[in-house]
Amino acid sequence: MSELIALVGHSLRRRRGLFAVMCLILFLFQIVMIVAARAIQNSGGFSTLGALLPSFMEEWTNMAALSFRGMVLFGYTHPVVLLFFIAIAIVIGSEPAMEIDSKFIDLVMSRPLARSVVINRSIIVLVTATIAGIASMIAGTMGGLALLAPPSVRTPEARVILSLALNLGLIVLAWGAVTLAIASFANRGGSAAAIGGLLAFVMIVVDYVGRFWEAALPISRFSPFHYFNPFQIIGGQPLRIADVLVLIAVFVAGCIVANIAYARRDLV
Amino acid sequence: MNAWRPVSQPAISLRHLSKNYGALVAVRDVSLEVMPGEVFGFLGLNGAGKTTTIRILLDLLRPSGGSAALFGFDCQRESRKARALVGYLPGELGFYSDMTGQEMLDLMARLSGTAPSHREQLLDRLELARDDLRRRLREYSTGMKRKLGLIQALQCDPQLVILDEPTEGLDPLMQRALHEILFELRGRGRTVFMSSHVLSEVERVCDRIAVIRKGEIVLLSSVDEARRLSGRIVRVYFSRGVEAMTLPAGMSFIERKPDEWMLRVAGEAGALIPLLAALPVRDVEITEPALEDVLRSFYRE
Repeated sequence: MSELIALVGHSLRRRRGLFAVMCLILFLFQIVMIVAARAIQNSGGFSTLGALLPSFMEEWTNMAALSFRGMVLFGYTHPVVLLFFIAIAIVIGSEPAMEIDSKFIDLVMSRPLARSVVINRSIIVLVTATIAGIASMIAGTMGGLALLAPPSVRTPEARVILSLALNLGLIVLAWGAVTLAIASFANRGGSAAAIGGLLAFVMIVVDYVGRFWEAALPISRFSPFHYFNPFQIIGGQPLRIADVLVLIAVFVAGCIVANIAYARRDLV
Repeated sequence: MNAWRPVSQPAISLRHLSKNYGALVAVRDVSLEVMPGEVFGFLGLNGAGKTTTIRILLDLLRPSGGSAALFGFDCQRESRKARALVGYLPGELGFYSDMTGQEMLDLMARLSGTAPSHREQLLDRLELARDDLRRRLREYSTGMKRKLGLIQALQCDPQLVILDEPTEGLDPLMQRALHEILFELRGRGRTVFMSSHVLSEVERVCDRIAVIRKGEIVLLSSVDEARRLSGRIVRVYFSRGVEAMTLPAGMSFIERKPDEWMLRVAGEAGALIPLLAALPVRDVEITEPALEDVLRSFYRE
C-alpha cells in the first residue's frame, strides 16, 4: 500500500503544475460563462440569440443555452471543456506507456512492486484529477453565481449542476480508462496518447452523427460519448441511470483490461 | 517482504533460459549459477543478450523458456520476493529530468520498503554533494546521474546488486571508489552481478565471468582460469645465439630470434626450467596474459 501511495504522490507531484492550471482554467471558464450570461441577460439579448439559432441546434440543445440559467449550465457541456478534460484524461491514461518509453519503469519495477500498482496508481491519479477539475468547475459556478448573478433571474439548481458534473466526470473517467487500456499494450507514450486522442475524435464524431441521423444511431451506441447527455439534463430531465451505468461499466472494463494486459506483457 | 533465504541458495540461478522476439533469439539456453558473496562479470558485445538476461531476472521481461531464480525465488512466480533482495542500476537511467536527486532517492527507497541505511555513506564515497541533491536532474552531468543511479541501487543495502555498465560516465577516481565499494560488498557477503565493457575493470573486481555471444554462454569460468586459457607469455634472453629446438607439450613459440625467444606456456612453467638450464640464459620474463587478450577471441566467432 505504501508503494502505491508513493507512486501516486510521485505522479501528482510531477503533474501538479498541469493539474493546477487545469483547475484554474475550468474555474475561470465557469466565471466567464456567468459574466457573459449576465451581460446578455442585462442587454435582453437571449431572445435575439433564440431567433438566430438554427432549428437543429434548438432541437439538440432543448433551447438550453437561451437563458441565463441555460448559458451558465452550458459551461458543463461546452466542447472546449469536454475536449480539454478528455485531453487531460489521455495524458494521465497514457502514463504507463510513457514510463516504458522513458525507461523509468526499469527503476520502478526493479523494486518489489506488483505490476497492478502502476496501473492502479494511474487510476487513482485519473480519479483525483477528474474530481479536482469538476470541483473547480462547481466552485467557479457557485462562487460566480453568488457574486455575479443578476437579481431576480432564475439560477441553475444545485441538483442540475451536480447531475451535469457527474455526467461530465464519468465520461472523462471512462475515456481515461480506455486510454489506460490502450497504454497497457503500448510501448510508446506518444503512440498511446495519439491512439487515445484519435479514437476519442472518432467516437465523438460517431456520437454526433448518431444524434442528427437516425440511421447511424445503432452505431453511435458504441461510442461512450453517446451516454453523455447534458442538454437533456439542462432541459429538465434527470441524469439517466442507464447512462451512468454504461459509463461506469466502460471505466471498470478499461481498468480491468489495463491491469490484465500490463501484468502479462514484457515491459520493453 | 524481506525474505532472504540461507546462503546455500545460489544468489542467481538461470536454467536453460531462453528469450525470443518472434524469429529473433535474444537469449538461448543460458544456464549459470552465481553464489552469494561473488562478484560476477557478465560480458559480451552490444546486443549479445546481457541486458535481456538482466531484465528477465527483474521480471521486466518474461522468458520464452527455462527459468530464472534469485536466492531460490522464481523471478516470475515469486518476483516480488526476488526483487526485494535486489538493487539495480540500469544501463540507461530513466530519471525524470524535472525531479531532484533527493526526490529520486526518496522515491526509490520508499518503493523498496526499506530504510536507505547506506545513503549518507555512499554520498560521501561517491562525492555527490548534498546541495546537488536539491538540484533538478536536468542540471546533472552524465557522471552525476551515474552516481545517483549507483546510490539508489545500493542505498538500502540489498543482498544482490545488479549493475549494468556501472562505471560508464564515471571519472577514474570515481571508478576506483566504486571498485572499493564492490570489494566491501563482497566482504560483507553481498553478491554483485555486473555487465561491463571495460575488461580491465572486470579483471580487477570480478571473481568469475561469463561471456555471452549471440544469446549463448560461450565462456563461464573464474577470472584466473580465463586468463590461463591463453597461457602465460615467457620471454627468454640469451647471452649468445642459440639453436632452435623442439619445445615440450603445452609450449609454443610466438617469436624466435637467436638471442631471444618469446613463448606461450599453457599450464605450469616448471617444464621449461630443465630446458633452459642447458642454455646460456641471461634473463627470463614471465607475463600473465591480460584478460582482454583471452576474451577477445570469445567475443567473436
